Amino acid sequence: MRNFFDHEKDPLMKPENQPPLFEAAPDALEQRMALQVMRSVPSSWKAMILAPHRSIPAWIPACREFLIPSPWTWASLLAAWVLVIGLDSAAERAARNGASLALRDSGRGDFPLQNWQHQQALISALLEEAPAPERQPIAPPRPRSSLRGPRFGRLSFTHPMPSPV
Amino acid sequence: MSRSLLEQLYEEHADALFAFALNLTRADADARDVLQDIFSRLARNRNSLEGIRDVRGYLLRLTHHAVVDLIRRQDARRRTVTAFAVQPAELFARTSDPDEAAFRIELAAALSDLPPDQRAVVHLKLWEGLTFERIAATLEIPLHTAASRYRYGIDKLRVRLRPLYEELL
Repeated sequence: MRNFFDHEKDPLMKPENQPPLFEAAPDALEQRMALQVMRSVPSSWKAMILAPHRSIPAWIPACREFLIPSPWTWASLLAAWVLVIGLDSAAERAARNGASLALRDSGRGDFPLQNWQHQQALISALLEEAPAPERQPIAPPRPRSSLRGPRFGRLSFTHPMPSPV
Repeated sequence: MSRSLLEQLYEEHADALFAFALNLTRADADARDVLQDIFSRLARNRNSLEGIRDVRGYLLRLTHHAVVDLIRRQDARRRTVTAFAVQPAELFARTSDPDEAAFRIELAAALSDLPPDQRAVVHLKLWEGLTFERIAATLEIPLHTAASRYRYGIDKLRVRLRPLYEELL
């Protein structure tokens, strides 16, 4: 933005010592035009215009200059954001409703702590009622040599040993 | 700037600045906004008039800048908002003389048909009585440009007003 008060080297500051150029005597029509009186500033404006001005933060005019040239862009961006937020909240609400419905259908309420306690009670009841598995008697360890018998025996079924003649 | 100095400036120059702004904008509200903008800037900048020899020319320059800024903002707004047709504000004071009234109406209409650049130069020449050099300095344009804009503008006004002018003689 142009600085209104930047008047260094301004022609308006030079002394008026140069003869006027291009000036010609006005004709009658020009003179008549120049004689027409223009309206004065309405008297009621003075108080309004000279009213003490509140100091506006410097960033407000800068924001205005930035926003005003493209209001459509900003408006469409805002509309897009509103749409995204709306869709997001609608989806979240639908998901919450679906979850609560599922809980209600399953006969349980909306109280997760009670559900958990109920499940824990069920599990513990099942564990207590379940019959203890029958324990097999642990056989004492057999010597290593006894392990060969069945192997040879098994071999004897598949490959019978030739009998001595 | 002190309040008394601001009031003194207002008394001396407000009418001229208002007429210039009104001729360029043709709307009372816009002219008021321009005046308010100028005087609020003057109030905020204490040393804004230091070293200025031609205060009137300087304030007219501020007015021109403010009008150009205003028109630019309005153009940006008009791209999206369709403006209603607004009756242009009266430029000249009312008169009881019917001939003068007719001439003023025709002159105001002819001025509104001029391009803003030419209108600004014609206004400063006819109603502020500035030389082309001061006009060039005020509007920050070359001297030849100021003179040629005036010539083009005044020729258009002559063509438009000559029949009425001769009829009224």
